[in-house]
Amino acid sequence: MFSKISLGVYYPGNSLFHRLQARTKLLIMVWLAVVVAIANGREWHFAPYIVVVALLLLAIVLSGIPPRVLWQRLWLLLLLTLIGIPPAIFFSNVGTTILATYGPWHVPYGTLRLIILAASILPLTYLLLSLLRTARARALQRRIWFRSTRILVLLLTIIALLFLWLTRHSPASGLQPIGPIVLTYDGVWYTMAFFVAFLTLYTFSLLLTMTTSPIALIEGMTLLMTPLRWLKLPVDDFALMTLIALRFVPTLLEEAEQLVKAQMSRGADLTQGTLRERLQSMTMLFVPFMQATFRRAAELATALEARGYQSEQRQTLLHEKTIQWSDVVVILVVAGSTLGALLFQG
Amino acid sequence: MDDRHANPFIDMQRVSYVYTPQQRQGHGGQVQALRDINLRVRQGEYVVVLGHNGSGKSTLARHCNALLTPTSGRVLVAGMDTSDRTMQRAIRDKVGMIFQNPDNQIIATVVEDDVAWALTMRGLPAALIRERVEEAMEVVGISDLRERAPQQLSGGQKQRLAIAGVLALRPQCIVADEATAQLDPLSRREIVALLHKLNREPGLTVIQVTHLLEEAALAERIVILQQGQIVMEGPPTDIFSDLERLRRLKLAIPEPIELAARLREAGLPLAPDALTVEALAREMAR
Amino acid sequence: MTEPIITTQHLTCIYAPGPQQKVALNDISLEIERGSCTAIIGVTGSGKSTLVQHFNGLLRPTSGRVIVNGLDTGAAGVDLQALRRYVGMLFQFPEMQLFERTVFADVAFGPRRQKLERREVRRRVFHALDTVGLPHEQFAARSPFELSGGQMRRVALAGVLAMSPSVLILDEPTSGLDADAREEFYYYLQRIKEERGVTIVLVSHDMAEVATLADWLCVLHQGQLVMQGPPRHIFAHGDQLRKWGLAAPPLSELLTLLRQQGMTIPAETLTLDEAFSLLRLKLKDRIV
Repeated sequence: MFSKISLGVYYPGNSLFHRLQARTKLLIMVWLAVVVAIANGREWHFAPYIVVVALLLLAIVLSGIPPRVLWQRLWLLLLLTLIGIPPAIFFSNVGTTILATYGPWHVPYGTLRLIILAASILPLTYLLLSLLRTARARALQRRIWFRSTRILVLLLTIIALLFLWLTRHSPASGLQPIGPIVLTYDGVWYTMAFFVAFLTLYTFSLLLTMTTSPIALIEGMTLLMTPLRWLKLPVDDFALMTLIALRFVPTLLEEAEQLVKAQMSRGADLTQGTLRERLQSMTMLFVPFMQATFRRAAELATALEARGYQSEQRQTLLHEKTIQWSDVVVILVVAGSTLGALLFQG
Repeated sequence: MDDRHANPFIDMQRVSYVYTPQQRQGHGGQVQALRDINLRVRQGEYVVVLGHNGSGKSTLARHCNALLTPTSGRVLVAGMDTSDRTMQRAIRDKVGMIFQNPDNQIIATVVEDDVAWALTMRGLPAALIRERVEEAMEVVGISDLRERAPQQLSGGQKQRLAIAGVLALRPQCIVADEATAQLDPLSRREIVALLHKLNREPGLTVIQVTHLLEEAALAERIVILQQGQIVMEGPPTDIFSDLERLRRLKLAIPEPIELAARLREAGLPLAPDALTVEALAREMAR
Repeated sequence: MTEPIITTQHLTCIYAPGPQQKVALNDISLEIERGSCTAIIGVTGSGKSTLVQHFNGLLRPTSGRVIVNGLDTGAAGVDLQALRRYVGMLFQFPEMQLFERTVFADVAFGPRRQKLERREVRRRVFHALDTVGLPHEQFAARSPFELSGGQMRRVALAGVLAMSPSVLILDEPTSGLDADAREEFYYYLQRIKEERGVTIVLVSHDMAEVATLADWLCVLHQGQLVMQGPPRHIFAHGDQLRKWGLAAPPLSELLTLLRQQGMTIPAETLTLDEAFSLLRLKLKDRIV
């Protein structure tokens, strides 16, 4: 069932961006990463970032991929990033120019202990429910969410107990300082720069995989690695390995799923049982799967031999063609604009 | 004397093969898989190699394209000795092979690329490759599946893909090593029919290895192995006339054949070469 | 008339609901009688494996109900472990799931998980091995990996049997086995059915295979139950079956061809002996 979902994110199309050679796109990506890395070291120099974002937007337009589709793949990451920015800004105390300071806040130990005591109702009820033997309690114990929160509850309880024990000598009226939180000039810059770079590069790599078929990517990488071939490194074999991996991952997923179902039908369960039983369940999955995969690999090797495979053969590439005008133009535009931005001293 | 008899396409002379213990992965000691096999396959012939599991038929098949070389004796393919390592590529260009597990012989992520793979490995120019790929896909009938991924194909389609991959190299012979074993009945018939079609036009030599008697009905010659030796050999008419012996060789007799044999015994004159369901129906309804 | 052991009511199963959904099963209602041997026939992709995975709780219906021994498998808080003890399932190429060092240990896995006491586990394992034709004195201490393919498969079968299921589901049980090993397997399966009164469900794409053992056939095509009935009845519809990617057993096809060429042959003949007697009679004027 998993294998029916296509593994790649390839979005077919015939846009300019699609028609660029894979190696052009790969080179651009690497170049942009380098540009951003250089720009990151210079304070409050906006030009490179503006250019990179502009190029990204241009690429999106040129690729013909509907923004809706891109959004579908980006929104989660965007959300996580936005959530991550405030803490990052507040906790990066780099540099000397301080913008603002918050706190520190002082809370009496007595109040803290009271809070912990009150909150202990939760783990206690959890414990009670775990130990009860009635039918309804049993049914609850089987629920997956119940079992997975067990660890969290345990962790919180330990932290709370640890805190209480460490502060046991402090008087109830003593004050526990929390904070302060310092906001620095440089901290803001580095955090913002980092996140912008991260997001643009990620979006660009997404565009890359959406407009380039996996095979073309592999062929592109193989061509770019040509210098390594002069150093006698096994570039062609590497390309073949990548191809085989791409080809077989869905098949292996399907086989793994089948195996999981077969062992579950025998009573294996990774989520229930004693520790020993769960380890056994893992062996039940791991050992047969590895054996089956090795057997498969041996059969594939025989089939490849029969088709005339020999190590380190220079292959004809069917997907990557010679460099076109569009490639040259795009490379020049990107190189020109980014270099210009880096050198711009306004 | 017929020139084809003088120079058989595949010539196995006193071939013996022993699997070493490490090859058998702890399943016991050495095993003599083939004993003193003498077999000549003419160009354009359709040979079916029959036998139950363990009879040595797959081992025999793998000697035809130098995947295995005999421990004693020799195998000549179009005059080339298979133990000559420098000739291996050339031999495999002439003799293509498809295997039992449809999945474990497909290497590319897209049908078109897989048919082309063996050709790209030989560094042929892209235009020539495209032409050969089109041709091969057309012959086996998968042209409309060209953009599909392997996991979207049925078992029968995968085997047709494998055949196309072999055909792209323009071989003279194709060996099917139990290629129908994991397919459903209709797909099995489809593949056997395709092999017969390739045998008629463009005249490929076909060696089909199987344990199903019913797939041998239309062969030119049947070779039956047991414990590494050829125990029966001849045209289907001869082979099918001795059902008792076939039963002793642990081969399942298809019911229509059994029925025909019983009716013949009871005195009904049925032509001895009526071995398929269609032919038998025609004979009985006459 | 006892209650059927498994019932499905308007069972529908949809993968990935939404614009790209795949309807694996579409409104299937069937009943499996206690002690019977039912065969679910269809090509790959017809939904037959999906269907039987609902019987032991591996899958839950998107809509409709599946009732096993009076219990609705889709109900909240159902004890899946108990269900899987009641309905044992053997997947295709089951010898691939063997993992223990001895045959005994592998077969004992199921009963040990049931928390049975040691003596009972031994009894069950030995009994299961004997039933599948691998006498425990000879085989219990051996490594499963040094056995032949057919033997390994029977070890896997014993592993399921040791849990004492009331229903045994087998998905393509004889794929990859040659004629001999196949006959052997079905022989032991028949013995299991008779000795233990287990209800058997076979899943296959080959009707000829299941013809001897099954007393009821359900044909699936693209997720729908298109035909069901006793084998004799199903085999008579050769042309229809071909549209669904299936082939009737060769003997039935021969009889269908004869019928098409004008011979009067009742639609129900199935066995070789019956066909022989009939044809000998019909063609007696040609006999010399």
